[in-house]
Amino acid sequence: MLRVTFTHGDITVAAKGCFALNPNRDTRCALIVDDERVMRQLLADSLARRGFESTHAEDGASALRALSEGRFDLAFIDLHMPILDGMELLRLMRARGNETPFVVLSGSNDLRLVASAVKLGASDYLAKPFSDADVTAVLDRIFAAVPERVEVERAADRAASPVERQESSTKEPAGRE
Amino acid sequence: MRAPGGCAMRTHGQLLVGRQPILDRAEQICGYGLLFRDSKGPSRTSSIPHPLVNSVALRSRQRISTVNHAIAMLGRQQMRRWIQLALFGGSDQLGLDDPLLDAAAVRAGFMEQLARRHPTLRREREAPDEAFMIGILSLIDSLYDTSMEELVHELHLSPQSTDALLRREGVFGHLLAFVERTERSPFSEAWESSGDLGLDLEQVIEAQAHAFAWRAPMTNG
Repeated sequence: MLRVTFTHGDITVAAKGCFALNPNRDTRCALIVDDERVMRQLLADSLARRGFESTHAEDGASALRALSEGRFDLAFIDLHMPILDGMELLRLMRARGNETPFVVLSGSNDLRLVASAVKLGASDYLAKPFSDADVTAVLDRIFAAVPERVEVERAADRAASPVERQESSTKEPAGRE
Repeated sequence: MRAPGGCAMRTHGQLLVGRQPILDRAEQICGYGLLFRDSKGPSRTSSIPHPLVNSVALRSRQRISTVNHAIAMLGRQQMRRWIQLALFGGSDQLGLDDPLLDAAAVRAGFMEQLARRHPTLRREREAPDEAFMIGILSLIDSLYDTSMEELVHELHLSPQSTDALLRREGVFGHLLAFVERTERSPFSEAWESSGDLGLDLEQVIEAQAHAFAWRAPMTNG
């Protein structure tokens, strides 16, 4: 099974299934971008209970790298981060044509920023502190709205990716951009 | 089907619609629930105390000595909201951690907050209360084996509440339709298809965040 490791930044890859080099995935993959390790873990636990695998990034720069190297069904992006904050990350994602749906994570004082993020294309938001039920609800809303798109993308991935690509563990992951 | 024949529906529904003496009495009962808790009596009565016990106000070390004190600590309006939700749940029908009750809390709270910010409704003193009530009642047919038409007829609602609940018409109806869309679609899509709500994006997000924060003590206990 392909495993991708990044050497810079705090990007922890939850192994199988999260990247385009393994398109025959039967799980959904989320990118969690937050500078608080505890928050990343809480969200990852919540997502795991819904069958998601997660890749973690502690800042916008690491997230941008992960997004260029792999493919995600959904990204959770904190608005306040060092190095490259959430809003700047969103602008760069869209400028580079990255269409990954994203949910912004905000504090209760960030509501104007949330509105700006929605204008930039954020699908939804989660206000901290959020519960397991809140995460479930946002997943239900998003994947009720996009199942067809996701299935089309997966089918395209499968068609474009011969079996031998999966067997090569030495290749770098294909970027989607 | 949770209440064959709709008898319980009539009881709870009529209470929900807000006969003043009944809600006043419920406040008193609720206050007694707090007193019991404070005096190491029953920590939970049939349907009301759970959200109360989890409230920030009650996590303080301050002793509650009178019913009026309990009401003052929580805020009269807050208490009335919880009572309305508890009546919606009903002690024998829904657990307080039931997803339907959680949905009712968020929907009703969101409706109330939107009404507080709406350019027309915010000038009407009763509009937030009515919006809250419409939010709860819009889910009540999920509880009872009765059509919404029958419920509305039974409860003798105002014309604008009736329009909202049956046809999603009028200001309350448009707000309710939007709130329902936010429950089944990503927020951005609900907003894009909302038409002219009379509110800007920041106001709507603020209203929704307030609604989530308001219901949090009930579910994060």
